[in-house]
Amino acid sequence: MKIGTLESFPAQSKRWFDSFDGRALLLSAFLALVAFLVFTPLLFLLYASFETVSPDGTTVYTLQGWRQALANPGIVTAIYNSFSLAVARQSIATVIGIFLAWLIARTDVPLSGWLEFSFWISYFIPSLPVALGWILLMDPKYGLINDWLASLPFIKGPLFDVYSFWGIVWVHLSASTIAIKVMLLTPAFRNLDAALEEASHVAGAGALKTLLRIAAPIMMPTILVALILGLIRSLEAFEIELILGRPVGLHVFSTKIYSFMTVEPPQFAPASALGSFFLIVLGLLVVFQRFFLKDKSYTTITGRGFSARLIRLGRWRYPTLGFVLAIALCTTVVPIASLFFATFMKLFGYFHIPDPWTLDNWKHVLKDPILLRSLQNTLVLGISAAALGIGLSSVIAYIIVKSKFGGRGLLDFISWIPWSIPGILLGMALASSLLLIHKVVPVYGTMFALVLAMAISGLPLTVQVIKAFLMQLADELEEASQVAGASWYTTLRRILLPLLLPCLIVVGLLEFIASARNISTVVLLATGKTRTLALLMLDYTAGAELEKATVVGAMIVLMVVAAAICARILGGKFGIQ
Amino acid sequence: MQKPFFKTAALVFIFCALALVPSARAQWQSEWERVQAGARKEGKLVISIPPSADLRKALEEAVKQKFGIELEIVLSDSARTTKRVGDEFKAGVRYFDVITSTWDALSYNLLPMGVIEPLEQFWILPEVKDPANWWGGHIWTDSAKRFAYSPLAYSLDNIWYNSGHAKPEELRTYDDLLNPKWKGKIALWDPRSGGGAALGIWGYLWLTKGESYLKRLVQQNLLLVEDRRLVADSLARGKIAVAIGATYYSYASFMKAGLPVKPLPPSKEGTFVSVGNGGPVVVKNHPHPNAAKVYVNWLLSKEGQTLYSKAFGQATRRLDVDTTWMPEIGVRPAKDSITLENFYKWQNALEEKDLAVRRPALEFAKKILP
Repeated sequence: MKIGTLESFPAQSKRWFDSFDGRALLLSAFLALVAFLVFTPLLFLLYASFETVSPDGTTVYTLQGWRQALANPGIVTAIYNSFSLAVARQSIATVIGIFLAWLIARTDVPLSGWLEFSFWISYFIPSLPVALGWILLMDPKYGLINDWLASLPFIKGPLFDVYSFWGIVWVHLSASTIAIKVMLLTPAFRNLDAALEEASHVAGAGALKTLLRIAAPIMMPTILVALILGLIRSLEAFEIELILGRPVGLHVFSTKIYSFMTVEPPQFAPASALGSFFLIVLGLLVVFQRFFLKDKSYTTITGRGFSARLIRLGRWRYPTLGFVLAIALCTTVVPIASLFFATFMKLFGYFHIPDPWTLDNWKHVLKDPILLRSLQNTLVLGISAAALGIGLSSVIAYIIVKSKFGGRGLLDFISWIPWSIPGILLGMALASSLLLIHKVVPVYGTMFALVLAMAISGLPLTVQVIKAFLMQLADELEEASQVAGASWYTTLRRILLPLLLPCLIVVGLLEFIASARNISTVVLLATGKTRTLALLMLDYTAGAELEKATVVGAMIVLMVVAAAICARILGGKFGIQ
Repeated sequence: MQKPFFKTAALVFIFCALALVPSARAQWQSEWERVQAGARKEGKLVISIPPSADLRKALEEAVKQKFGIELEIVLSDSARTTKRVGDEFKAGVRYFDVITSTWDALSYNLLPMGVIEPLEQFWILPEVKDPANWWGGHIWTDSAKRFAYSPLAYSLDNIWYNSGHAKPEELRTYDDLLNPKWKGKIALWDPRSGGGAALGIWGYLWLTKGESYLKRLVQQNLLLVEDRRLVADSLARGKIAVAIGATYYSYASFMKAGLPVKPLPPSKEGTFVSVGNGGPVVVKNHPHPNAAKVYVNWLLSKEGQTLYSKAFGQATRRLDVDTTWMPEIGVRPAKDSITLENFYKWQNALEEKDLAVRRPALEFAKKILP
């Protein structure tokens, strides 16, 4: 198997890894383990797509699920909507994301660290309150912005409608689509050697031309990873489409799957069949990524000197700050403010009722006897999933990028698979996998089952983030350490880890946040004992107690913001700036 | 000659009966005490209940306080619970002891798989066993009368209006909903979404008004909503004038806030009678047998049913539980408001009716709703 990624990093000499005895066996065993963890749920998904229970209770295997899925009215339109929404979101977010990341990392815009941090915060906020916040502002009937604009003499009727194609795109952009781009691209831009830009300036190019012709092309692996991750996540997007799309009949692929899962009785076979279809899309995107990166070198961190000089914006410095700040506030303050307002409201979104504020929601939730246990569970899950995720993803990414192991292409493909299965189906498939091995490995029903589920479901993002970073690290760094007589452990400890640390902190944080917020993947695996805060929030939401759910949501936001601050302090200590 | 014989026989019979009563009493009491002691040793019980934080809290507290048993509660709707229990059973995992369900959800996998225990064998308390304590005697949702007991029965206000946009006199019958005036102004809690009340009213309309009526209703450009809170929210904000399916539980906070949402007075054409989310269903090979017995008995006792009705707002059939306060929350207990004959006529959740009404009505919904 000829792998493009590796060709970008031809081995100049024997590396410590290659000289390890029995490495092929070890790597094959590792590949088998990852394949088992990832493929088993996938196989269960395919299996479930053919499984039908006949009225007498016996299970039969037919194509009925696939027929039902494909014959579902509106399925073609839903798939078209999914793709058009994903393309619209990603096109806009990629352009804005690259520009913002470049401004933050490569220019002397003031408060750049805080600006970057605000996008982290934006990414952490669960999408539900973001959507509710924008409904409050842009509902065509009572939205505050529409109300305000309607008072102007030259405007007739509502100017914005959040329940529309572009409404959904807007809410997604403000929720996490731009934020994740900035989070992924800023550290990579920071690692760019300024000498390249300086050369561009010497050749007479302006700042923007340098960005478009020099910085952006060099950043292509990271940009592509961010784009493909974004595209896949966009195709899977669910909550915002459900809230804003369904009331106006705008259905997407994932809401169709949801409909199959929630009808009475739940139709698992067609839901699984639709879920399997997503694998084809994912496969095409992965092939595209590998084809694009083939035979190209994207190394930016080498053993040579490294210039980190920033581009001076001159008189544009403060207008640029205003521009970035406006976007940052729009993606953080609006949703956080609406979330915290909601926790004190008798009824979410109803400002005009008499005496709209109350402390009862907080009192009620704080008195809930299972709150403390849920909080503990969330911390245990978040920290454990982050640790396992970092360990697993680092090894996978290292093998893919830096080794000559024959199965690395397969490993790369496998690492994408968890994202080919929508969350709720992944949870169902993982539950089936754990039940299958329960007699040998009794982890079903334990906290470890949730940790494993989160580590697996986060694999595509974490592996790709570390992979993109590793691709920027020249082999000569390790080689120089070897030549100087350092052992593999010393090389790992003194060279690789310090360079990778900011990236690993980001990865750990992403895992922690994903675990703290996740509902769909863990809901079928959790027990009464392992209930997390997000599941407690779901309990309140399912009981139509939205205001109490927002209190738990606010607690989750506080927790992840605290985690982000810790990560930022640690990251700063270890050079994340 | 005959008279003294009968007198003696009667005296002997009465004597024997009187002698047996204390022994029977002693028998159930000693069993109840033995089971409670066993339950305390087991220490915990795993149950599933419908999604309600209030019910979770009330049950946890009461069972812990009274029996010293820790309740591990999973909040989930019946469809997802039964799927999970079925998968666990196949894999040999014993997690759940008691779940809450009607026959409907059990019928898709758990009953055919033989995962459910007949319930009556768990009954110890005479107050539970005695049909005289229950309105209509013992009513089961399964026709075999073995697995899915039905402790609840009530009807609900399930058509609501916004008093700023509609008047109750404009909506006296179901046919009034077809008035072109309401085109684009009616929301329907999607009967396909799994909400019992949503399917209940849809099934009732299917049965009493027919498919042509429902087709015409759908032509009113219904706002289909899967989340009952959103149904209530849309009505409170005046996005729509009338909402079908959601009940008091969804509107309570909007009413308290003084928003103009009101239930339509019950139609002369009647409405469906609900059996709620069902009763306790015991899973085969459950890990805590004594605790399960204690819970089942307590839940079906006067005390358990009083707590359940209060915490969850679904009315019990127990005659010794005061439910007269429930109309205040839009719930009309069957025992206080209708005849047994009408109960059987208007309900559509017991097995026979479910098969004859709910399922075809659901299939019809899948066919005609967008």
